[in-house]
Amino acid sequence: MTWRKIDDDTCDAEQPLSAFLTTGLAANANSYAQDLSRSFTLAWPFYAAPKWASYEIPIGFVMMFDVGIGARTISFSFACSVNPQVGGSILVAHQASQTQVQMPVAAGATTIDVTLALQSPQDGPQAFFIGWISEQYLDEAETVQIYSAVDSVITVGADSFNPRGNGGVYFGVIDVPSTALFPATPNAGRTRYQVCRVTEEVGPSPPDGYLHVWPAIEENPPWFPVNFDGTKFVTGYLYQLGWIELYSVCATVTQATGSQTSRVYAHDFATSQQGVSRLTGSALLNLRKQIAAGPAQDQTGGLHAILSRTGPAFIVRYFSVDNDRTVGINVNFRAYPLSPSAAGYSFRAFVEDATGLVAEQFVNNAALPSLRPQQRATSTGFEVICANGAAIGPAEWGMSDALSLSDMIKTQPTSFALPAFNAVAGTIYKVTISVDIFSDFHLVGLYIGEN
Amino acid sequence: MPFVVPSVLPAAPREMNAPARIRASTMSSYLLRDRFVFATSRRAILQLWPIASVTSAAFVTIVLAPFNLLPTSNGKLRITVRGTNIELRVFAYTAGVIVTIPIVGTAQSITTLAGCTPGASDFLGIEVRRTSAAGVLEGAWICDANLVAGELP
Repeated sequence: MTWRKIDDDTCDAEQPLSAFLTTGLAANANSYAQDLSRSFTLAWPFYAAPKWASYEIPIGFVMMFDVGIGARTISFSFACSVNPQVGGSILVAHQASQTQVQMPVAAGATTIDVTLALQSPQDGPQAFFIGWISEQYLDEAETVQIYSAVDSVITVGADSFNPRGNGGVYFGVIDVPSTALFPATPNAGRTRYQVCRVTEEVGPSPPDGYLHVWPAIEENPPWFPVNFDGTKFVTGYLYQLGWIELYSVCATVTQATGSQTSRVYAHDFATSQQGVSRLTGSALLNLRKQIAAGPAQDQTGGLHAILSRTGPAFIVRYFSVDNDRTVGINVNFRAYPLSPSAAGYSFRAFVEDATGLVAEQFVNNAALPSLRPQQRATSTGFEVICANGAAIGPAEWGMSDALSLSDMIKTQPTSFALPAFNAVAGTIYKVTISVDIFSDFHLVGLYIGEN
Repeated sequence: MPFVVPSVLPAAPREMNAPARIRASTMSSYLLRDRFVFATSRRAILQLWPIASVTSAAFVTIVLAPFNLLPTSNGKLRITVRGTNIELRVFAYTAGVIVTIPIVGTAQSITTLAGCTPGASDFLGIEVRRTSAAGVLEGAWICDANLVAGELP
């Protein structure tokens, strides 16, 4: 069934004009879901593309996508760059319908296509978790000298890998030979830890640097080489993790089930036709144009789960309309502060044209769940794996923006609407969302769309 | 009466209480509303982040992204851009079409990229360069252009 202009072919023979009308209108209204199915692309500038690796659990971000009417199957197309040595798996999950799909990705992949068949039809803006889990490249390894390991930091000296000159985000795991360490049984048998970042030592050598790892090394007392009164170090092995650098994600509804209005037989009564008319009206509500699918600010952003680490925080988006129309703006997102002492946040969203303010909405004292960084392999209470648990500096935007699916679920969805305004065709409108920031504040997904 | 797509959404008829018979004006409103929904409820395609400082005087590719048009699309992308002293080039690679968008001073532009392939997947490329010492891309938003009456299926 597809939409078509209503003409003689849609009319039963020898029927009055009202039957002609309702038959065609019912067929058209039933076709809206599939014929006007939605698609939207979330793209990052190349120089700020998110790049991340994840050891053991999927880590990623949330894409907000307005699926339109009755979406059943959604395809996700990724433009990306994957580690040429080792791949991983991509995970797409839709929490509301308890649906997810995980697909292996080969090393060196530049495009990925994933199809998600939803358990139940969905309408309107939906949150999709896009996650990545790395494979490990065990064929080749580099070595470092391990001097000590305390909490999430391993102090190392140069061997085949020299931390000096290699500072920054790192995509690998370190294998620590447990028998050469004291205490001899590390962390319930764990010997591999993800290395999230390398910090260079500027003083005398050794040590030459520090590896920030996740999960933290849960040992008390901390680790030292068994023969610390001799060579004072043991050899650790560094393996690559499959990383993904993500340039864009295009979500497209490929199958939708809309209304199935039957023919209106009592076509000469107005009440019978109102049902068809209502379908047209409700379709307008569910076929709104999406303006934003993620929260990044500018080129300083990486994966864009984080809105701001203190300081000014605002998001700006532009849009225009083809026809003069009444437009409202909906804003949906999830968020959490990393400081338990932060009591609440205030949002201001407003729309401007070239002449000034046209719509404005305040949301004061928004109650958001406070989460703490998770350092250990097992979480306790409201902890969140950010920065893969590694303690890193405030300038870091790489993997620190990623979070796990279970962490996303801990946050609360929030939405608000701006007052409707009369938009004029050919005018460009600027949507700004500002947040009063008191401490590190993470925005998990963001949808801005017309209504 | 010529076949047209209204420029604004016609109001829904109100004189609908049974057993009123259908009036010609009511039928006309139904038809126009149906046409308006189909012709104007096109897909949004892509958002682009702000770039606070465009540093290169030569074109630099900033985005390569897949996109999908509806089979009933007219193949035209409507590109909304605002910035300062920049020039954008927007490509649909598979279709092989391109449009250049100059922004002189602090200004905005609504530009059409025609010739994309309806119903097909394509890759959208965006290049940007500064045209003076300080170039800023405040943001961009791309959508599938509305259909006109002659383009309805």
